[in-house]
Amino acid sequence: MKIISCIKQVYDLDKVLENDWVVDETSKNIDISYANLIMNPYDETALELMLRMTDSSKELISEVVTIGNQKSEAILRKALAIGVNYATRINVKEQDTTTPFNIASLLHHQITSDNDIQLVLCGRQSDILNHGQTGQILAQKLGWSCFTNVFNIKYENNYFHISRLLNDGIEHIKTKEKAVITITQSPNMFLRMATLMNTMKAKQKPIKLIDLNETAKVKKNSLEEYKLDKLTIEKSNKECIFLTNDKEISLQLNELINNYLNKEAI
Amino acid sequence: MEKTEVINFFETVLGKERVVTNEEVLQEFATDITGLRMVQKHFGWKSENLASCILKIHTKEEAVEVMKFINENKIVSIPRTGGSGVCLGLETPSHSVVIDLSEMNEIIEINEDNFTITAQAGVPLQVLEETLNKKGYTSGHFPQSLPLAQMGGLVATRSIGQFSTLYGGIEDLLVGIEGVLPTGELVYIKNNPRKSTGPDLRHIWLGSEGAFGVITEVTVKIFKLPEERVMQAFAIEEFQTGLDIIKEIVQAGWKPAVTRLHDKTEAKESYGPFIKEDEGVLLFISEGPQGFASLEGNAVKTVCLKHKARELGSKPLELWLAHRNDICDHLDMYAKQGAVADTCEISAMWSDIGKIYNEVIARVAKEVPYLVAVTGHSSHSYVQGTNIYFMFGAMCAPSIEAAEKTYNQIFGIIMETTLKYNGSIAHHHGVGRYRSKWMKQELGSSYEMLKKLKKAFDPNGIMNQGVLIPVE
Repeated sequence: MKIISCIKQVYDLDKVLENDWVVDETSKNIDISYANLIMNPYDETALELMLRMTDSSKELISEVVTIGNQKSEAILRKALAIGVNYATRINVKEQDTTTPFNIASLLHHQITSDNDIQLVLCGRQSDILNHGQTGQILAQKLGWSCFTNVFNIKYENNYFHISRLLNDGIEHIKTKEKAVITITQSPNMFLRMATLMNTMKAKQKPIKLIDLNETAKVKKNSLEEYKLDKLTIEKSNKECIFLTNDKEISLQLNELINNYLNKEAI
Repeated sequence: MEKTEVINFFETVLGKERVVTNEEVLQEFATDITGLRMVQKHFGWKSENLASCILKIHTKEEAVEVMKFINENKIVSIPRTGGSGVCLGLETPSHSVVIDLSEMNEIIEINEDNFTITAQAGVPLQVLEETLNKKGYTSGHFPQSLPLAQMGGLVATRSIGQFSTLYGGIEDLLVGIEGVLPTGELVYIKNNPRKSTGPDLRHIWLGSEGAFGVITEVTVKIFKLPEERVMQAFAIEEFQTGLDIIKEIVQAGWKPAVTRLHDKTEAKESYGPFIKEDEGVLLFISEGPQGFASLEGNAVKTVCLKHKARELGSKPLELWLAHRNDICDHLDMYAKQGAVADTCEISAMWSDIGKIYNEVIARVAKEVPYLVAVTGHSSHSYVQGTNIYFMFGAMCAPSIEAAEKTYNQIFGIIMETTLKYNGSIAHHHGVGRYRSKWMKQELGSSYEMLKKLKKAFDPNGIMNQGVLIPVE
């Protein structure tokens, strides 16, 4: 039985200097090219959860898949170095990956080609674009269950035990069904580190390459195209109003909220 | 004397609220931020040697009274300010007393005539620096612990800052100092630009690590904020090339405030998009009065290009400046991932430093079974030599004992190799309790001088027992 973790390489936006958050003259670009490329942090949590499950059960096999060019193999090598069994890269043109629908379509093709896959894990969202939709679209395309905002999964007695974070608490689910799971960050859940020896060994391990440009298995009309119109940076707008007089606080608050809502409506 | 009697005395002197006996707080104060303890805490380590109490000192008079009592009753005491030590120098033996000066935190005077600032031991360096900046000055002292460290501890550990190649280490910055000896005398060394009046007594305090008394007040130099700054980074193919470049620059008489060489592993981690595979990185900042930085910057560039270094512009420096102290917000990050991780800085003469670097990297990679990484950089350079700041991480079985075994193995390799080539086992982190076992080899015949000084100043052996000189 196989678990797949979808991982994405993103720029480490924490490293981008404050003064560099400036849109260029074309209004379509911010230069973040000098930031290191890292694994999307939500995907790191998903990967760690997958490895904890495969640590606990020999019947589970782990695989990672990424969509991108050869540079993105760095995160696949990292995954192999920390114990993932297989790695796959779907090689595409960059414009094919601008929308969650496209990404889900490409993943759908890969997942349906392998009957052993029982569970698909994705990070809840990526640090670039932050759509937070890929997992849900993928589940719909696959016709599988979808569990979102999951922070823990265990495999015990042939069931997946899933814990989800809700607005008002935690939900625990037990399932044997195929599912797509989107993972949120979990406190004190960090991706394990690869030893130097395993990092060296991972360089020799094979990475399966799927080139959809050549095979053209994905129908052209199933890929949407988003055209970027422009980028703007919204100025931060903060205000603090102190409410005094305990007895009238609720009235003051009510008035403030109504004024805000009326302003938004206009 | 019974513990309750001891506590009662302190409460009489300081007031009940300033004598802390809460076990959770005592556990927090039981150690410092040494990497070994970070990962051991993750595996469940708790100190079995809690202090009896923590004394929150507010005045020098209180420090005197407390020290006299402690000495008369032979109670082991641990002076402490910011708590950012990394060598187990602040670990509490059982029944000891922590003398906490972090609330003794007033800036006494900024003297713009003499270019000095006088501050109590508990003044955070960050506060001192921000205060100076508002008036157009700087302390020139920028250790990575800047967000955490306080003045007393910075002097006691013989600390150094990232801009040291120009401004010097704390030993170059200290002008005057006041402290309380283990036997309770309040002593003051006055401010002076230079003197020839016997051995420089300030050096008893510099690097004392709490073993020779309690520092209560320091006066350090200040500098005008630089009018000009030139930042440039270069890529190099070999680490030794980087060392050769730095050596040529400093021996020619140039003193770029920031002079750093990162090996290929560190360079890839921090500056990957700027460099090619297997390149290291050199970082230079020149600063000073108008015209000075450009002059020095051009000289640095000439030397670098002569050695076929590749220009990378100033962006790597901008990144370094913005993120150099980020680790202070995530000190236990690697521990949470179950890794034994820490840093170890050593120094050596130019003729030996490259050999130490190469041998440590090779030995650690070969001998440590679950090594994650070992890296090194040079960050403080002199006409005679430089330091290497090793950083290491290794996985281990999830137990306190396994963590210690792995840590000791890696540290041991660094210490042995350094001593083999006549290097020094500590460049600026101090000795603490952890490195004291190598002090005899480090000092050789001069170890007797240290022992005699300790005996003279602290006849009852009460001050931070086990630091500098191991307990036999």
